[in-house]
Amino acid sequence: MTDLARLRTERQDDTVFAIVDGEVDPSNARDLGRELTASVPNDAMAMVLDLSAVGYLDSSGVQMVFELVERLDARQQRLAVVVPEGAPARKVLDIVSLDATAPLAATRDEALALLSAPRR
Amino acid sequence: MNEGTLTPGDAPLQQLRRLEAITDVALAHQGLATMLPELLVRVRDTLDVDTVAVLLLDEETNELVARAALGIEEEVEQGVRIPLGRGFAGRVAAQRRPIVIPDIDKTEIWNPILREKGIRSMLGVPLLVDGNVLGIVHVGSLTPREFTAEEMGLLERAASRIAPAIAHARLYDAEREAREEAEAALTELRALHDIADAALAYLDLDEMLTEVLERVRASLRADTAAILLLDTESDELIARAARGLEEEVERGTRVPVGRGFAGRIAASREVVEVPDLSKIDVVNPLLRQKGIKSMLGAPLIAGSEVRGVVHVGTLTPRTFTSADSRLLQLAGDRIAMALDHARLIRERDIALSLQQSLLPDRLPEMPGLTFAARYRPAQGGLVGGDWYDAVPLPDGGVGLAMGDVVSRGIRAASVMGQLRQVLRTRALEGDTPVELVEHLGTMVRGLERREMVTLSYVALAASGREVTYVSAGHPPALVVCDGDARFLDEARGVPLGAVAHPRYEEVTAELDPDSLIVLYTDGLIERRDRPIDKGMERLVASAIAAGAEPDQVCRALSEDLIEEDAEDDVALLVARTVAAHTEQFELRLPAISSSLATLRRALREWLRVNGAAPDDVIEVLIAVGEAAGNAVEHAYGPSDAQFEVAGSIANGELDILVRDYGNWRPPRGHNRGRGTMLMQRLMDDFEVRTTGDGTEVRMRRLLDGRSRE
Repeated sequence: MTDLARLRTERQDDTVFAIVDGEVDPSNARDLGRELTASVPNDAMAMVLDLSAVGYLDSSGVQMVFELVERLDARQQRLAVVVPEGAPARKVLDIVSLDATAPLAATRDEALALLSAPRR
Repeated sequence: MNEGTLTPGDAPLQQLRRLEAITDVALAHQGLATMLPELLVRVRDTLDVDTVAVLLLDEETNELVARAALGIEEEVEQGVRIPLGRGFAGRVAAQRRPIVIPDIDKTEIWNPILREKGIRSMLGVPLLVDGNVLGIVHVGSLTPREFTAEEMGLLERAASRIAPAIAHARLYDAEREAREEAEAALTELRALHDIADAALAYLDLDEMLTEVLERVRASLRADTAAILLLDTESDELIARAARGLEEEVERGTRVPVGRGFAGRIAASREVVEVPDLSKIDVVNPLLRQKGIKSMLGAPLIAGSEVRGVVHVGTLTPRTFTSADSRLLQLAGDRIAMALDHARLIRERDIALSLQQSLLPDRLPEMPGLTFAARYRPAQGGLVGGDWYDAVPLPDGGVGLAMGDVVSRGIRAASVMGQLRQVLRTRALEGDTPVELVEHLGTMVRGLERREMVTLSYVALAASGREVTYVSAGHPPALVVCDGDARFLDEARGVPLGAVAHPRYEEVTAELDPDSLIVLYTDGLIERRDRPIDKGMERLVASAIAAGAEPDQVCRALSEDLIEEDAEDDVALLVARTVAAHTEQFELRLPAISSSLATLRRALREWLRVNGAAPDDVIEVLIAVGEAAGNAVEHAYGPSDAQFEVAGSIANGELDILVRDYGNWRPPRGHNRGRGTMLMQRLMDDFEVRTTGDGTEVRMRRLLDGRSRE
């Protein structure tokens, strides 16, 4: 992955927090997706992907998030995405209606609350 | 007995007739080759003897050499040589008087052939001209015989008439030989002249040399011929073309100057003849293996420089004549001239194409930047070592490079070519200026032949307000702004590859808007009759007075500072950071995914300067990013594909075009569909057009600061 984007992960109980900052575009989206998948151990129940500090995200980043949801779903793990209103990534994720597939929250706490809600 | 042939009672008239029967032959022929055999027959028949022989004196060795014989032909065939004063013939010549040998067994005889042939009695008389001994003629009988005084007298008188004829014939032969030799030499010269001239038209040097060699070999009737060219670096002769000795070239035979046959020729710069190859020290074993017995070689000299050696060889022993030597030397001169000519043409061709590869075809088009460059080649046709480049950087800035390989010629030029390629690659991959210079330094140290290379590298930030520069022993770049000038001279470093672990430092300096950055090579400021600091003063003065446009600056600096007859080549690269506040945006980038970040940085800056609100900026970036992402994804061809983004703002409305030269597939799958959806949603107007050679996306949006989300 180039230094266009940086990834930091934290474990809190059953949940992995992945914090991305920088820009996500076709030059690094695929690699970032691979790193994110690898950062979730089998014993984790869920991932919270924090894109608040992402300054640019386009359809390649959207594709990356959708694929991540699919892979985690296959392992019975859930994903919630954190982006506050008005953040660059939020615009894009709203337009493509990510929340129809994965919970979209403005804060990490909100994301944790959404994850603990029963599945539909 | 032969008593009856010539009796004491013969009348004087009869004797005269007999004499004339012998000597009229001498008058009727002009050349020895035809005269002597017939003379011998007359003598034999007139004197009724069994053998006759003529031996002529070789004045150089003081030996009598059998020249013609009848009845004892072996004498001539075996090339009998008899020292003056020794044996029968030697005594006749030394004593300059007739000698009769009634019984050969009782006399000292030098030549064993006489006894082997069974000769019993002999008579010999000297051949005298003006008191000088020319040779002798002797007759012999296979039966014991007493030669009479009269017979002796007859042979003596005959000899006195024959001798001048022989002398005359010899002179005639010598003349004819000389004339024929001269004519032959002339003919061969013409032949050589012709091929040498024809050779100039050949493009391929090897073909020309092979052809010339064949002519040389044929002209000199030799079995082998070879040309070795001097490699001035190793001071060795390297076999380049050969006839009858092709392995010499195939094996890449090298002969040090001064050693062996060819080496001796190059060192002495003279024709060298080797009659017997077994007696000299040869470097190249092939000459002996091939069975060469005799050799003749001449230096190839053009002007006063030895370019190589041409030599011929024979498989049978041969003594080369002075005419052979002259001819080979003349051929050598022609070959040397042809070589020089061919080399000039070749160097010029290579120089032209190299020069093209060394300098950028065009300077990049960057938002907020204009460029101009000049290259003035070195005088005298040598390829110079100056080069420059301007490379778009991944962060949206541009890297300006100016380098100078100190040596000259094709090898130096190929080093430049490599440096330029590596610099471009490293710069595109995001090396910092110091990393880049260190990398190039390592590369120069790894070169087969050490080169002295200087480099000035200035990375101009996308904002146009900052430069980061580094120098490897190169004259400092000049920054001109608003009538002021300063050199970027705080970063110092040794030339590339000068030391194993050099320390380079990069220095960052701020630029005012609308600055000129001038990079140049030392040819611009150095002159033999002027100190460098004077040259730099003149550069500053000229640059300040030149005006604002890079092209104007290049023209002014060339006119003011470059002299017509300057030997060194000169390169100039001028960049101007125009204020980014412009309503036009134009960018052309390689169709690779790393270009997308470059595009975003440049576009963000342009939109910001034009007063676009943050929501306008991010939404336009995403929409244009989607279009550019498609261009990259569908780029055609290997690596040189590009895409263009052109934007303009009029009445607060952005009109932007993304153009590539590949064909989009119709949107397929969620991802592509999402990209198109993003463009449609984020812009007010969106349209895709497939052109003859690619795809154009045109989008419009009012920059009203409202999110379209």
